[in-house]
Amino acid sequence: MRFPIVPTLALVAILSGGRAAAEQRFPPPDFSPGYSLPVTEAQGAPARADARGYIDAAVLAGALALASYLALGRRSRRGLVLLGLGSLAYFGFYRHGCICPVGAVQNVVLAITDPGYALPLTAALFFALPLLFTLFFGRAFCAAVCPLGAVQDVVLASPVAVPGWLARALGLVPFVYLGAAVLLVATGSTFLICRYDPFVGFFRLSAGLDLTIYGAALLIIGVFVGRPYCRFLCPYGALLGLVSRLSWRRVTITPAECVRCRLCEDACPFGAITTPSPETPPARRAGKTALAVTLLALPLLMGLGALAGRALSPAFAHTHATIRLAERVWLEEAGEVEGTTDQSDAFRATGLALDDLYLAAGALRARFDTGTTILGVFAGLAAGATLLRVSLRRTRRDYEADPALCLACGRCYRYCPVETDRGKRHRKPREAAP
Amino acid sequence: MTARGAISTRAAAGLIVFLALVAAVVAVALHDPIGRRGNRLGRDFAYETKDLRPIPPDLIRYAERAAFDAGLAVPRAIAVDAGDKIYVAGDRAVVWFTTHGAPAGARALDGEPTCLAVGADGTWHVGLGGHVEVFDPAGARAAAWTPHGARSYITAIAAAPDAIFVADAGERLVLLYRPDGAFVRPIGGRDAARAIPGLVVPSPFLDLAMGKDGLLRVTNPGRRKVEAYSLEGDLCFAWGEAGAAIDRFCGCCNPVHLAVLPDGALVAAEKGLATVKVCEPDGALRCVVAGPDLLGENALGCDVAVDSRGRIVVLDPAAKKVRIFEPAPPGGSRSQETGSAHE
Repeated sequence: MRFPIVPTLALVAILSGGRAAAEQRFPPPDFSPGYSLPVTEAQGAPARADARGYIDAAVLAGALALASYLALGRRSRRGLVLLGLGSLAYFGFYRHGCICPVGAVQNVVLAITDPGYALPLTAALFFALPLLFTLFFGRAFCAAVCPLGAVQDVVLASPVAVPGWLARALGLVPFVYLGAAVLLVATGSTFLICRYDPFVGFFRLSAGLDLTIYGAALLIIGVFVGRPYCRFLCPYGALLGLVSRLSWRRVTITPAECVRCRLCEDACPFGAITTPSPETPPARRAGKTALAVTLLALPLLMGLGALAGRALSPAFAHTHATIRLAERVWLEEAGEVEGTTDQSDAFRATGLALDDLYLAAGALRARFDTGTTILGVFAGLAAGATLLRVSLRRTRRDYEADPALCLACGRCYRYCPVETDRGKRHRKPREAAP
Repeated sequence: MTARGAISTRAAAGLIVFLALVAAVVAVALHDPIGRRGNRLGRDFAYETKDLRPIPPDLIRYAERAAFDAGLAVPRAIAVDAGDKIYVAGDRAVVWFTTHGAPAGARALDGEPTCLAVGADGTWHVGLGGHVEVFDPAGARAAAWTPHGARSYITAIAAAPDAIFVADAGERLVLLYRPDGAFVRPIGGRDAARAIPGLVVPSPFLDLAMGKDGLLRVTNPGRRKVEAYSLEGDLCFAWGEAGAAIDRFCGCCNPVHLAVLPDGALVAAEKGLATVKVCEPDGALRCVVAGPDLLGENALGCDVAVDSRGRIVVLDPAAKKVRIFEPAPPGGSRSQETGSAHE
């Protein structure tokens, strides 16, 4: 077994680099002689940022099309690996991981909930294109276009299987994460997904110590557990997993008839291969009982989720700047803290009434109460749906890729003897040629 | 690999995963995305301007000889007429004072003024947001000009005998009008063919003044420059560098106000670290009138005007005062004579 810990740590150290001195100072530093003002739009330069955004969207569309072709048409693992490395280089290190479809979810939610926010076309395309391709061709984005997935694929050296029960339980986290991110955007608090992006600091060579440790830890886990962020955290992956259940076409382990050789059984590092149903199925009555219990438990789970969500409301609410400011000002006015903060000073300098601040904070708290309750119900529903999926008995004749879990990476292709045989037959005429 | 070896390897992997998981959880818990614990950056990154406030005493060659309350809650603009009467616009009015600071009159306006100019013939031109209103010397409204564009926001006016120059910060243009209000041409708009880079106006501050050499001086605050235009709209030259040194323009957008001394030198006022300085027509720093130690740090900047005797009249919007400066030997800018001028 290979233990590439040292190279991994070295990679992390190199990628994290030093903390870039990117803070703005006021007044700006003196520009020594020889400095010339940068070219601006006013001097006739093209609107570079917009054009670059459209180029990024075009590259994304092209990469998705290529990934779909490589995964479904060519069935080329090597091609997917190369495309993944290219995506890592372009979307990751060159474009610094932004904008990405994972974060674009928040832009879309903000556009829906805040009438004053105009959704940039680039963000809309980055959100929609991977979903659209998934609807037609499965998770091509996860296969070889997402830089977050690609960087984890690079370190995956010695995969171990995660127990099914644990993987299913952890599989709920992305839905909760997605719900929390939607709530925080809808309340105008923060872009949670971007704040906790584990790898963007590496891409920008400017990660702080805490996020460097977080990202490095995920990469170290990723040496043994295939793509831990994608499977157990990524909120966009949760959406893609849902959409991929409806895919028009998706990856199949074998290009033809499954011969049930079992060679692919352990091929998937993501636990996405489902095995054929047992010859002697469990008693029909037991299955029905399990299903009934789960259905009955569903409202209970949702109710418990609602209670838990409501209890977490104050913690969520504290992410909002207005609520934090109101709390701080209230404490200062009540004499329970000493001194003032920059924020409370700035608020008082506006001359706005304290009551208005408290009223605004109160209204926001009410929104958080409602929002966290809905989030809890959603989490309970997701847990119930997972239990239902386990309870439902389906008959499978072959080894199949689970449509929701399969990341279309193509690792299983070479394990299939049917695929190998097909490859040989395709190569034969060329080998026979003089 | 033997079964025992496989088990020990799996256990090692499990231990590493567990430790990494603990590290990840701790890192996430310690992460402070909303800055609750402050930015934890060193002093190099602090918002600290005290080192930039002092001005070498030998550069300060003016002293404050008088100061009086403008009598307005939000004073916005100042002008001096040919008889050295001092006009201040603010709130919804124009008030005027004798040359010694005694109140001499007031006239209500229909809106909040943004700028003011008084011509040699005593005619006032007042910017009221997007348009200009003209008043005769007695204060009767003579005309109201239509806004030039949908985004017009008038921040300065300069009156010459045959021309009125209007600084439109919203449209990023200087507008040349005839005294009867007929629009003649825009000046300062981006024009590659004439090598005019265009006015960069990040905040509503765009000022102008007619130079003694017949060239119009216009601030280009986003570029930290003063530009000189001919009346035909040609860019003749520009000067100014960005920087915190006293002979440069500091911050995002400065200078914010201009006036012209009788000898042709320019009075330039900066906001932020509020400073009023005198520059030669070619931009070389001549001296400083007053700095942040007197004018403080304010985001509005001090409007400036010059009277016939070369006194520099400064509107200090933070103190809501009019301050009058006269040349003095090098030293501090506040003299013993400071006080309510008309008392």
